[in-house]
Amino acid sequence: MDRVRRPAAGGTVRGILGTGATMNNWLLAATAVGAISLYLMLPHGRRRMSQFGALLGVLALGGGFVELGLWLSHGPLAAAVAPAGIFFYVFAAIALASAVGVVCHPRPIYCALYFVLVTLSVAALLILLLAEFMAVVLIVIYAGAILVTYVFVIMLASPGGGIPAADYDRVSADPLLAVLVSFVFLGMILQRLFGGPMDGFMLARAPLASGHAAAAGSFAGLAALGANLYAHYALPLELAGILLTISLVGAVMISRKHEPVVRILGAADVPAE
Amino acid sequence: MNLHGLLPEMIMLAAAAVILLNGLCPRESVRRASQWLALAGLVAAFVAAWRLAAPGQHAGWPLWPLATFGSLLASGVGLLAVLASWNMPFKDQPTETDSAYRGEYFALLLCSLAGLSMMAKVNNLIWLFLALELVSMPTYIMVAAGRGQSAAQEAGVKYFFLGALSAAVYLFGFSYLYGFAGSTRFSTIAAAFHSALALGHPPAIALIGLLMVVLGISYKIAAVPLHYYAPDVYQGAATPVTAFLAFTPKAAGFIALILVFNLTGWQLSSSLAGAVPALLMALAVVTMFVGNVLALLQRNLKRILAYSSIAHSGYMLAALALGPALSPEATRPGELGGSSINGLSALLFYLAAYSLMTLGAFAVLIYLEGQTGAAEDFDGIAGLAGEHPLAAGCMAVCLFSLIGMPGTVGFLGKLFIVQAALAAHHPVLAVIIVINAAIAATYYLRIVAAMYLRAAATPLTVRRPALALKLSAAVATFLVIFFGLFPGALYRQSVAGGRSVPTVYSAAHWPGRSAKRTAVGMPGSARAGLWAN
Repeated sequence: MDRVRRPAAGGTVRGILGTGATMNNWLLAATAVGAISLYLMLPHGRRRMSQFGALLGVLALGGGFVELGLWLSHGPLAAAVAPAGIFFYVFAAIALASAVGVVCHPRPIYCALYFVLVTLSVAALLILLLAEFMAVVLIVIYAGAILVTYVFVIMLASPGGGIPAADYDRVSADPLLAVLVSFVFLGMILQRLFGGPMDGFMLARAPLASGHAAAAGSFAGLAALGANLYAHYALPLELAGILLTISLVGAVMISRKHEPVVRILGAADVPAE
Repeated sequence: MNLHGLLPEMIMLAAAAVILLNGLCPRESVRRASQWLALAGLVAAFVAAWRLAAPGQHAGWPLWPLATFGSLLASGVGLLAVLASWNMPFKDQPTETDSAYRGEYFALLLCSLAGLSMMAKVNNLIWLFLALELVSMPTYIMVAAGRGQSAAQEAGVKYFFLGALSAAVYLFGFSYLYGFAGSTRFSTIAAAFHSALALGHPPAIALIGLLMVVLGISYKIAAVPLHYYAPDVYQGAATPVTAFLAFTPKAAGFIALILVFNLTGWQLSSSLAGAVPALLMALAVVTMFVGNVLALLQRNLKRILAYSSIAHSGYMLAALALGPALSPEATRPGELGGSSINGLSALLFYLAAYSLMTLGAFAVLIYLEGQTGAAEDFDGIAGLAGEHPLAAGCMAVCLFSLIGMPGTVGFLGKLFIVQAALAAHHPVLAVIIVINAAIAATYYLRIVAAMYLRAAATPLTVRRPALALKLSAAVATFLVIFFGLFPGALYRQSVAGGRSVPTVYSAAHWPGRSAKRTAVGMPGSARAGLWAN
């Protein structure tokens, strides 16, 4: 998966909201800077400029967030996004930083773990949007099922015992092409979202404000799910807990190094049977 | 059913938790108490299950006799399994005095048995899935953790990945059943099947769901088409684990299949739906032949027993395909066996019989491993009768029972299935079962011949196996003969369990059925040509 970087814009509120405005140049520039910073950070096999790339990325991200915050707090969406508050920026920052980690870390297993972090923070963003089911499904499918498969493959395919990883694991293939394709695509999405007049896509979010209030009053979403689980499926839930405990015990048993039992648990104090 | 009905399972799981902690104790003498704790837990669970099996308990729960049969089977045979694995299977070196996994092993064993024990007490597809996986998950770990050898690792990986695949398949089937009925509750699904069958035939989605469930669970019972793993896994796993594998997932799978087909009301007889019992019958026949014929070609004892376990699944599938109906013209009271036994009673009896005799055979193999290093092929047991006459005797009795010789419990098991087949007007099936018993006799007798007629290839080095291990082989052998001569108690439990499964749908059989869906009425006399009759 490719990172989704910076819904950021250096543009002014007026520039974005103005009817008939085209994609402003600040946004284009921010995307380009992001592309350059990511290209610098991608593993090339030899260290060069990655710190500089990271610095560029952090600056662009921070600037983008400030711009976004200013724009949202004055626009017609202010009421809609107010309940999310600071959490949106926190989780968005975690998601973006982890996404960079996914593509930039030289060791595949860490990339997979960064991907878990991306999934979890995106799930948090979905919860902020009241899309709780989407959030749960995202975690179950991506962090649960797909990632376990990834990790299996990585474990089976990577050499152990201090042998350095193969070139194709350490160096990204065609970084320039990948960055170009993904950021051109990103630019197209940003053009659609912010480049034109405010249209139905953005305004559809506005009712969310009232949605928050309604959800708090009614017994909906995750709360209802939890109540249902404990009211009607209490025994299966307990059973699932036992199943997970067993799996955990099994994982420890199978992955533990085989050492003499005396060293692990303690000395023999009775003669052998 | 209230929580009181789950007492045996709660005892087992509590014992498992205690053993898990106990196994981490720094003092080895305390760790050695793990076996005793497991034994005590299972005895307590057996007593609890026995009390719950008394008449009048949980009268509102129609399948209660089947449920208590499962609990008694799990705790009773589980006792023998604990005794058989008294010498820990997971030692890295034979010279080590203890295994690091002592506590874990017995805790996993108890968890798996708890899953089997609660199998027939579930009333929801989700719960059924969790119970089935509670049976299987510990066995995956037990296979993979064994002996630190590459064979065990290979067996563990094969068993786990194929097991996950089969679980996915039958879970997919469950989702289709859910899509068909709109609920995961058994009562609602049964009502939906009843309505659909009364109107003609159930929609294809329900039948596809059923087929996927049969396919997925055929892995648990090691039946064709998902039997391929059995020989490799049985051979690669440590022998006590193999003994456990041969019985626990199979029993759980068969009880699960009974529950799933019970949802259909055993009334799949219309043109399209009739394919399901026909398929079951076909699977039974193919499984019998595949297991028995391939067992003829094996040299390794554990592989022979693996193929034999496949073949026995075939016999039990045949009994399942016969369904719960009693043949109306042939019920003569007071006749033991008689025709008062239906297919499911025969299945339950056979399940218990198979568990005892296969566990006895494996217990002797474990005993010989402790004695001679590895008794894996015919050479390893050649001349056994001279060196260890008692062990050879136990093995011979269990093998005779697996053949179905009169005087053993295996004979009665086959007899009941054949009787049920004849009563249900399936003489061809009865003949096929008898033919297969004859084929099976060939390879079982080959083992007996190697023990009694050949001279020992190598002098046997004597090590001292645990008394409990000898006890498990002896008790299993004793029970094989005892139930073969006096089947009363086992027979009563099996018949009660098999007869508790209703042959006609009635809303009264489904306590707590949601009031939303009212079943379309179906006259009781419309049972002509139902299920497989």
